[in-house]
Amino acid sequence: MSVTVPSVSTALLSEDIARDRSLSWTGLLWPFFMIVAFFGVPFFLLLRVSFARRDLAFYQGSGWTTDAYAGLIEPVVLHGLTFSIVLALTVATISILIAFPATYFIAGMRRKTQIAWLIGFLTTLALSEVLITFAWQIILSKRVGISNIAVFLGLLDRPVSLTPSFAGVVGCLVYVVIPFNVMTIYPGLSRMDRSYIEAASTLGAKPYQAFFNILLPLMRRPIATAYLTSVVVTIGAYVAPLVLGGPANWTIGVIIGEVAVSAQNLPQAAAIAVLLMAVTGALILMIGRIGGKGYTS
Amino acid sequence: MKTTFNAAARTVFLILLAVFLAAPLVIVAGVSLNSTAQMTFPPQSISGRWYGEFFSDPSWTSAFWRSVIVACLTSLLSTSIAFPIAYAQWKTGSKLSKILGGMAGAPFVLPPVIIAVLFLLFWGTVRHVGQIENIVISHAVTFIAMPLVMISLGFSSIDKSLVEAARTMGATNNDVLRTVAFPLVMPFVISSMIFVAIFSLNEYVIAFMVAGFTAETMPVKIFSNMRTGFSPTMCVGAVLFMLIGLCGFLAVARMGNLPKLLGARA
Repeated sequence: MSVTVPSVSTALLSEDIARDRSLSWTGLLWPFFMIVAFFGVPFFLLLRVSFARRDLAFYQGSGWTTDAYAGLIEPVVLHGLTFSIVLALTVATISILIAFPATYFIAGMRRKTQIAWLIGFLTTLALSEVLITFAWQIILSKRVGISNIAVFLGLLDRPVSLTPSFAGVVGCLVYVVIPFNVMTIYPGLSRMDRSYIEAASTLGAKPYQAFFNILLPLMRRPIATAYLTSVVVTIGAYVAPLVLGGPANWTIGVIIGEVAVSAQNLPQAAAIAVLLMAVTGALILMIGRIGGKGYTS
Repeated sequence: MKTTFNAAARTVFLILLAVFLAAPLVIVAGVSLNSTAQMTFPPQSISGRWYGEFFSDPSWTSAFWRSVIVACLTSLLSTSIAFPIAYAQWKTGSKLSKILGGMAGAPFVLPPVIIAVLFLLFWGTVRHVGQIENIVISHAVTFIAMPLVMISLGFSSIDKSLVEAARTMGATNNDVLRTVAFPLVMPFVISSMIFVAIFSLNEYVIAFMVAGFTAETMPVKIFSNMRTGFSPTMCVGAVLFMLIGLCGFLAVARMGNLPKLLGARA
């Protein structure tokens, strides 16, 4: 790129390029080391351990066996996995139905109002799953929860505890996921040229026609990405299902945690983690295909 | 007539959403201000009693400060890994920088519980368990994607002609980085550090699995309290964390262009 600058002599130029090369290597040494040592190595360790035999003398197990993979067909694991997928799809669908219109409205607002909403979403986005679950535990509780409002309105005779329940888990996870959706859809919607929609309505399109024929196709990719993010976040959910749900509402994430921490069976936990990774990968490919290339500006 | 109806429906929808988002925060804050040990909402009489209790209980304050230290170190470490990659991608676009960028993004698209098991296994195998640095390194590697994307955004917003001008005047690579690129990218670096710190502060599964109860962070402590029974003191911890998050993002919004940082065009 310095070629366009005539005053730089060729000798200086080649020296510069050589320095660029060496700089790109030495400069990347630190990130290279950190990423390989603390992500690459653990990743291959996980794969290796999933093929190991459980050994009380070695934390990571020893030897080679496919026992852990055979253990994947246990009903607990299979139920956990199917439940997780159903839960993830439910949560992702509900939250996108709320987040998409909300983001559309917000992206069209004045800048100051937009910033206020963004700060609000970011604050809830960053909130620990633990804090959100804790708050939902209070909301769903018998003492001070929403069932008291239902009693006040005459819908119920006396307050009830709304946990453990599937609905409680779904509600809490929708709360966790909505800010992720907003953050994923926001760039696309805020960059989109709104005159398309106006043009459509000037030409006589009904609002729902403009929505289905213009807005949705344009936003196909951000929507698919947001949906995917929700699925990834929900499928491994740990705290909410454990606290707000009963054993029937345990996700694969909870099961991995139990196997790894309580049962200390690392090969088995690693194998379930590999399975979950494979399922997540398959979902990413599938949803990515539906999302297609879409529109990018 | 119809448009006013639509506008009203939109307003109601947004108000309901705002209430939905704010409700948990308001309830937790309300319970933390209660004067009795029982969980009541709205609080019957307001008192700061539990705030006093929180700050005089060493087990809570140590968890609080541990979390803060982990968050600060994580954001420094994570940014120190991401910055060279973002710089190399902008400067040379070398293959290595692209591969590293791709690897850095991987932990972000995997469910957190997998990352947690990954690190649990790693630290267990190298026989280095229950240490605070485990959390720092694990968090830093998990969150690299965040500073990487933000700092890359900063580099890509530098006008190339500025760099050309500096070079014509005889500036070396280092001069360009120090006097042209760095000041322009700085707001993005600081914003990304705030983002990483807040996310690290709130992260639970990884912190629990790699350090557990020996180096308890706030989310881990709140979680274990939640399992054993309710105490208003844990609400105080929750409120403090929400306030830190809110202040952090307010600072980012004041300092830089928040909509742009999040991907808007303006």
